[in-house]
Amino acid sequence: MSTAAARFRRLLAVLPRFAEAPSQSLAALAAERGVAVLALLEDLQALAERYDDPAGHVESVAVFIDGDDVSVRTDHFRRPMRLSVAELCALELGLALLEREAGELAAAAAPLRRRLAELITRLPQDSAYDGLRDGALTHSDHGRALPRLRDALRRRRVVTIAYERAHDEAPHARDVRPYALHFSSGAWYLIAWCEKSEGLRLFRCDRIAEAELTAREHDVPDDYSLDAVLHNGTPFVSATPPAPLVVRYGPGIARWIAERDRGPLETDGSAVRTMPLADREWAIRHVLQYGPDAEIVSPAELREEVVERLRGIVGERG
Amino acid sequence: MDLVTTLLAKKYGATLLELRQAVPAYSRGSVESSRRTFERDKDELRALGVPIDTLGTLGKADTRYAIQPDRFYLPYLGVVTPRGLARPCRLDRFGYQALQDFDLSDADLALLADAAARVAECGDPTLTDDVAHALRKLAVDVPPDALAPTPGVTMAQPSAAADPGLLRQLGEALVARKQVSFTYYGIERDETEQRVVLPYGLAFTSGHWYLHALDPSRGAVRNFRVSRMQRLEVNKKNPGKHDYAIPESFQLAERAVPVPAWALGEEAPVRVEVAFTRRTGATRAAKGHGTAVRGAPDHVRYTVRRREAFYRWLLGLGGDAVPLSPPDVVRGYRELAARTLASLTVPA
Repeated sequence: MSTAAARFRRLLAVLPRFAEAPSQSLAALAAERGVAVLALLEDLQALAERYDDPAGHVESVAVFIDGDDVSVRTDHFRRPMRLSVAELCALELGLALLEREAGELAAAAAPLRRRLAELITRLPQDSAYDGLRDGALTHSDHGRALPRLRDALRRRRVVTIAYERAHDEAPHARDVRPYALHFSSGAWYLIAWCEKSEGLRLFRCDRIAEAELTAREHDVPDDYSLDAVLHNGTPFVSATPPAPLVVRYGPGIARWIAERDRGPLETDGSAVRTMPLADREWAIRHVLQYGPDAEIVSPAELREEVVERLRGIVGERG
Repeated sequence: MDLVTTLLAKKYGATLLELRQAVPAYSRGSVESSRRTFERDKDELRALGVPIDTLGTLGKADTRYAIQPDRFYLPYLGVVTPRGLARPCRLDRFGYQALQDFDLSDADLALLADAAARVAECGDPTLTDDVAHALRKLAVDVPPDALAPTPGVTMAQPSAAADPGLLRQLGEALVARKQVSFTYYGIERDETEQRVVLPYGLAFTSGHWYLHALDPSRGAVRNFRVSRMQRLEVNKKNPGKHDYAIPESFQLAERAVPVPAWALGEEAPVRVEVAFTRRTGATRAAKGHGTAVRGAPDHVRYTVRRREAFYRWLLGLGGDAVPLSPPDVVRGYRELAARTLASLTVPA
């Protein structure tokens, strides 16, 4: 997009505000529009200062800048422009992402997408934009609890969830106070205060079988911060200080690990990583998914558990 | 801005000659240079969504150009809430009376706000800009909190994120249908090579951007993780003309959804039946990738292309799922488990 086109677009976003009040604070207007004051000032000055206009032309838009305030007089642009096809497509991508993670949203998102299309004026070149972007964050329906969890976050409500940990044989109900939803490494996580265990806990959303809002409201504590629960970008919460888990990834897969965490490779092409160990079952499954290309270096007893598990699989036991 | 203002003010449009009298930038120089400037402005404005209509035969002296206010301005946005319908104040003059009403529910607006927030976190500056502009337009008529996204919802940025500049270039190449070339790091072969492809679409899958493009040297559509691309060049020859057309049979939606690694690739698919020996959170999620076997509630069938990837995925379930058929898959899985065991028990 050219500089002039970008400026035109920004001005069309600002000018409708002057339909409400002819004079506005520059700072407030810039903050509301999400642009820097200087950038807004430059845009408006480009409209106001037209020294090269030949005499006799009617001024289309009159702009008066007076200190911290600006006023605009015009018969035009008192309404925003319709959505452009590019803006519509961007919104459609967002709706597709939401819809794909929770199938039940399709009932609301599909008609909304159709209705939004009425907010553009279809132009011949618009077909060039159709179907160029799409996406999905998770496998279909892995986030079926997400719409209710988002609702709970909006309304600050306590939620009753049926949660099935990786090694649980049935879901267990608990009441939680949702603080945040965070997407990391292909999964959504709910970070919440668990009333059952009386502590901050992490729940993988694809293991939340059901979620129901209660009538109880809660506040997110001031001292909560997402950064405090992230370990190398992935949420991690433990009731007790976790032991370190050391895993060696062989050269066959180490470059994927290094690409993911930007960590170093050893001289033989392998990668050694230390991470917090909160769930032994998770650690066993984590290394097994890489077959002979990953091994637990420590703790030694966990490595032995992996060996025992493998003996069971190949039939060397019992 | 002057061109749009002039056309909005003239109910029946204006010829180029009339525009030369009304728009300062067109009054200088020859008619021909004005025409060229006007054509360039018209194309740029149309690309921004400004509906400039051409009335009469294109290129004639009496050809008129017009913008109808009701096609240019956003309709009045009403918000439907459980307490009733809230409409914005209408402007009572000029072309604004012609604007229609357009109602959305507060739930629709919340969904849109979350959709926009999700897009803004994808890392593509063009899309971030587009959703921000879209929301600002809608926000003129609705209370600010109606378009506020759900608090506390975030997406981790991958360590190896796509370069925003590359995403912008690829987006422009897609719209213009221009061939692109780049160096690509093929992580499986651990090699970097030059690729020349025809972009068909960009998909944000599992937190990463992928370019889906026809690779003419292979005669097939391939996907490329954008974060593994470097030195992107967009074909500059024949600007304004398409290098290719995207076939109607190509549907990006079918390729944008994450699928397990074992379901990808060109290998002939094999149907594998698996028995689940425990019901856990992990096995419940794993069952979702296959189809249930009638009469056997703990058996699931999978369509597998990459067998080695499937064996590893199955092994990652820690023995809670075992393959039952076909025999070569059963054998392959057990061999992987045996090799893994051997790697852990061989004395150093």
